[in-house]
Amino acid sequence: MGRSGALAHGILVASIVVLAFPLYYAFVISTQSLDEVTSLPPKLAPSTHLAQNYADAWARVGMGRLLLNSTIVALAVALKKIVISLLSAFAIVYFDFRASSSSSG
Amino acid sequence: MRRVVFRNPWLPYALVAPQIAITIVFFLWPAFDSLRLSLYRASPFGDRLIFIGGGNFARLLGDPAYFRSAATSLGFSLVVTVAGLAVALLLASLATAKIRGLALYRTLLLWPYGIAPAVAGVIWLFVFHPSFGVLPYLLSFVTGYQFNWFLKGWVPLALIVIAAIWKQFGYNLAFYLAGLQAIPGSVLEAASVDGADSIRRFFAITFPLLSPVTFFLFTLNMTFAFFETFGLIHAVTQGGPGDATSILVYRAWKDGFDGLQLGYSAAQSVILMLLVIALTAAQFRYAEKKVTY
Repeated sequence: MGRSGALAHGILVASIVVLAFPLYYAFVISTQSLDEVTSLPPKLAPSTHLAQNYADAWARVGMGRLLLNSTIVALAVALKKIVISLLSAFAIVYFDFRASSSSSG
Repeated sequence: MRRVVFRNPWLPYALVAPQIAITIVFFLWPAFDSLRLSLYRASPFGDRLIFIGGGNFARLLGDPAYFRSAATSLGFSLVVTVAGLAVALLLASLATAKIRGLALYRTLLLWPYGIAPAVAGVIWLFVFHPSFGVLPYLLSFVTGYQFNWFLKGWVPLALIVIAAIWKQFGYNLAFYLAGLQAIPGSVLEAASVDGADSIRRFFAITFPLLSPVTFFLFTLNMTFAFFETFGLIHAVTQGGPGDATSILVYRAWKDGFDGLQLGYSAAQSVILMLLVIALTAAQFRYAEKKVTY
C-alpha cells in the first residue's frame, strides 16, 4: 500500500465522519435535557436523559400506533407493487400483443 | 436465447389491467382534474367555482415571485444533482480501489439513504440552528458573519441542499459502485500498459463507460430535488425566510392548501407537469445521442 492507498483511506474516513456526524449529533441530543440541548458551546457527549426522553416521545406522540400504521402502509404498498409489476412484466415479456410496446410506462 | 411467446387473445390484457387501472385512477384522473381546476377560481365563500379560462396562468406568468421560485428550484435541483453525483462518483471510485476494509467503508457510506427526507432535514436543523447549532457556533470563531437562516436567505438554502445531498448520497453511491464493477478490468489494464495514469484512465474510460449510470442518476436526482424535497423544506424552513427556499412544488402546495387558492395552485401543478414532461423528453432525446449503453 503506497501513498495513494493512504490518501484513499483518508478521504473515505473523512467522508464517513461527515456523513455520520449529523446522526451522531441527533443521537447525542436525544440523550440531553432541554437546557443542555440549547446551551453554548454545544455539548457533543451523551448525557443522562436518554430513557426519559424516549419514554416521553413514545407517550406524547403515540409512537406505537404510528409505527404500526407505517408498517401496515409500507407492507401493503410493497406487496401491491410487487404483485402488479410482476403481472405486467410477465405479460409484456411473454405475450405478443398489440399494446405491449406502448404500455411499458 | 430464444424467447418463449404465448398466444392468448385476452390473458395479457387481463395481466396488465391492474397496472393500467392504477395509472388511470392515480395519475390520469388527478392530472385531468387539476387541468380542469386550473381554469377556475373558487368564489370568496368557497361554495362554487367560477370559470376564468386562462386567468390563473396569466396571473402566474405576470408574477415575478413565481419566476424567482422557478429559478430557485432549477438552481437548487442542479446543485443537488451535480454536486451530489460528483461526490458520489469520487467516493465510489475510491471505494472500488483495492484497499483494505472495503466492505466496512461501503456499509458505512450507504446508511443515510435509510432516512426520510423530513427527518434528514430535522437532523441538519440541529447542526445549522442559529442559536444552538454546532456549525454557526464553530463558524463564529472564524468569522463574524451571522449564519442565521432567519436573516440570510442563502443559509437555509445551503442547509436544504446539504441535507438533500446527504440523504441521496447512499443511493447514488450504490449505483456508481455497481456501475464501476461492471467496467471490464482488461480495458483499464490495457490503458495502464499504454501509459495512461489513473486520472487519464478515469476520464478516457471509466467516465464514458459510466454514462448510462450517470444519466439514470441525473434524471432520478433531478426528480428527487424537484419533488421529494418537499418534506425536507416543510419540516425545516416552510419555504422561508420570505420565499428563499420556496421551490415550485412547495409554492404550489402552499398556495393551494395554505392560501386555499385551489385554481391557482392547480395552474402551478399543470405548469410543473409540463416542465417535467419536457425535461424527461429532452433528457431521453439527448441521452440517445450521447450516452453509450
